[in-house]
Amino acid sequence: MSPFKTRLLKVMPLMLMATLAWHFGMTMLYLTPLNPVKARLMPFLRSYIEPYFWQKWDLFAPNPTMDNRFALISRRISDGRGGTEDTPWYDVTTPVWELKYKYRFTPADRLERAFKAPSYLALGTPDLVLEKMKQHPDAFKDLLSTMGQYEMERKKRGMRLFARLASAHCDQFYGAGLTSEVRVQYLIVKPPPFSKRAEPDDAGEATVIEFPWQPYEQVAAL
Amino acid sequence: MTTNTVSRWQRLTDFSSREHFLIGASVFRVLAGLAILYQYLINYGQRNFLFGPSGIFPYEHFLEAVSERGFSLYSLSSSPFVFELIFHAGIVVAALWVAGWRTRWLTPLNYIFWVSLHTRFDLLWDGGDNVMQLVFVYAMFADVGAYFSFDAERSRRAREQDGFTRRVRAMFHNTAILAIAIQICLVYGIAGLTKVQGETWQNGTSLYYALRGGEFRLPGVSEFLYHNSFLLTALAYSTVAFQISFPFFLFLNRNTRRIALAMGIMFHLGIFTVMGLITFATFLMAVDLTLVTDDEYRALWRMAARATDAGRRGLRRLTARLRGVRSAEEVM
Repeated sequence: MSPFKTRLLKVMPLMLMATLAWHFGMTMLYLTPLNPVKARLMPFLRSYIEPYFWQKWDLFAPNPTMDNRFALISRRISDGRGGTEDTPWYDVTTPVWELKYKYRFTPADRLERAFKAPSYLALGTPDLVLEKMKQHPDAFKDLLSTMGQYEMERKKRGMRLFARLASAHCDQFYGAGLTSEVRVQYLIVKPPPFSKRAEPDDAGEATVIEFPWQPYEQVAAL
Repeated sequence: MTTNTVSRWQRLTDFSSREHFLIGASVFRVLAGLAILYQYLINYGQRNFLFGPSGIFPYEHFLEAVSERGFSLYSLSSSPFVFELIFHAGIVVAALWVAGWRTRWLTPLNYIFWVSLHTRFDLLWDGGDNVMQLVFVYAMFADVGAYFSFDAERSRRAREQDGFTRRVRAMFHNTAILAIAIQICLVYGIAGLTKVQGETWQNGTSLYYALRGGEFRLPGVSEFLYHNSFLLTALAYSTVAFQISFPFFLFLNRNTRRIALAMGIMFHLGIFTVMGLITFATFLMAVDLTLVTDDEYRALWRMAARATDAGRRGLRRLTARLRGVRSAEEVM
C-alpha cells in the first residue's frame, strides 16, 4: 500500500467521526426546544436538516392524542324534479376501525390515516411557537402575516381533501358520478377521563364541526 | 503525540478497518425490507386511491409539495400507466433488496422508490417511517448484504482481502452502524424527554388515553390493560424510564447494551400486538436488532440449536417411553 493510502487510512476515522459529530450536532440542535441559539441558526438548520433528515419525535408526547375523530359524510343529489335531496350522515370511520380490530394485517391502518389527514390540514395542530408569537403581534407582524396566509392555504387544502374523501365514499356507496355536492362533518369525542374509565366511550365530551357543501370531485375508487 | 496515544489510535484504526455488526445489518435489511414490502402489498388494492394520479391527495398539490419535500418518482408523470410502472417497480426493488441481491446498488434504489411513495401522500406515515427514512440513508454506507443474501458469498470474498478499498469500506460500514446507534438514541431520548413534560405520563394515565382511542385498540386486551391501574402505571413509567435510559445503557457497557436492546424489542413487540402499529414496530425492531454484535448472534444461534436438539431428544425419549408402555400392556 502506498504511503499516501496508509496515511489516509490513519486519518479516515477522524474524518468520519468529525462528519458524525457535525451531522448529529446539527440534528440535536434542530430537535431541541426553541432557544436563542436555535432561533439564530434556524434558517441554516432547516436548510441542512430538511427535507432528507427531517425528524420529529413527539411520539405520544407530551401527551397521547386524547380524542377520537369520526368523519361523517352526506351527499346532495338531484331529485329529478329540478330540486336537490340531501342524504343522511354516514360514518366512514367506524367501519375502518372495525376492520382493524378484526384483522391486524389490513389496509385499514393507512386508510384510517387518509381519512384523518383532511382534519389535520383543515383544523391544524397546536403550535406552541406560533401561540407565543401571537401574544406579541407587533414584534412578529410580518411573520404572523406570512403564517396567516399559510394557515389559510392549509385550511383550503384540507377542505379540498375533505371533498375528495367524501366524493370517493359517495362513489363507493351510491355509484360513480351520481353526486353533485358533498359535505363532511367531524365528530370529535374525548374519552371519559381516567377517573370515569368504567363509563362507555360516548360518555366523553363531544364536539361537532360541520364543513360547508363542496362540489363533487372524481377520485380513484376506494 | 505520546506513544500511548499513537498506539491507541492505531488500535482504533485497526478495529475500524474490520467490519462489525454485519449480521445485525443483514437482519435490519431483511426485517425492514419485509416491512416495506408489506406497505406496498397490504395497500395494493387501494394503491390508486392512496397514491395514484387521481388519488385522494390532489396531484397538483403533490407537485407543489415535492419541491419542498425533496423528490418523488411519482412526479415524473400523471399518467396512470407510469404510476403503475413505478409502483410495481418499487415492489420488485424492495423484494430484491430483502433477498439481498446487489445490495450496494439496491439500497439507494430502494430508498428512492420508497421515499417517492411516501412523498406522494406524506400525511399517511408515522414515526416508524420517519426513523426508517433516516436510517436508510445511513444504511447506504453499510454492508447490509453480508448474510442471508445472494450477496453473501461475494461479500465474504471481499472481506477476506486486505486492501485499501476493503478497509475504507469497513470504516464506512462501521460509521454507518454508529450513526444508526446515535440516531436511535436520539429517537428514544427525545421522545422520553418530551413525554416527561406531559401530565398523563407524569401521573401514569397516558396509556389509558392511548388505548382508549379507537385507532390503537385491541378489543378485550386494551380494556383489560386500562382497567388495571397497577399495570397501566407500571407500563407508563417503564416506557419513560426505558426511553430516557436507552442512550446511556446502549453505550455504557456490553451488559447494559443487551438490557437496552432486549427492552426495546419487548417494547416494540407490545406495540406490534396491542396497538397494531405493524410497520412502526417492525422498523424500530429492525433498527434495534442492528445493534446486536455478531458474536451475540452466533451465541443466540448456538443456544437455539442446543434448545432444539434438547427438545428433539426429549420428544424421542417420550415417544420411546409411550411405545414401551403400550408393549407392556399388550404383554399383560
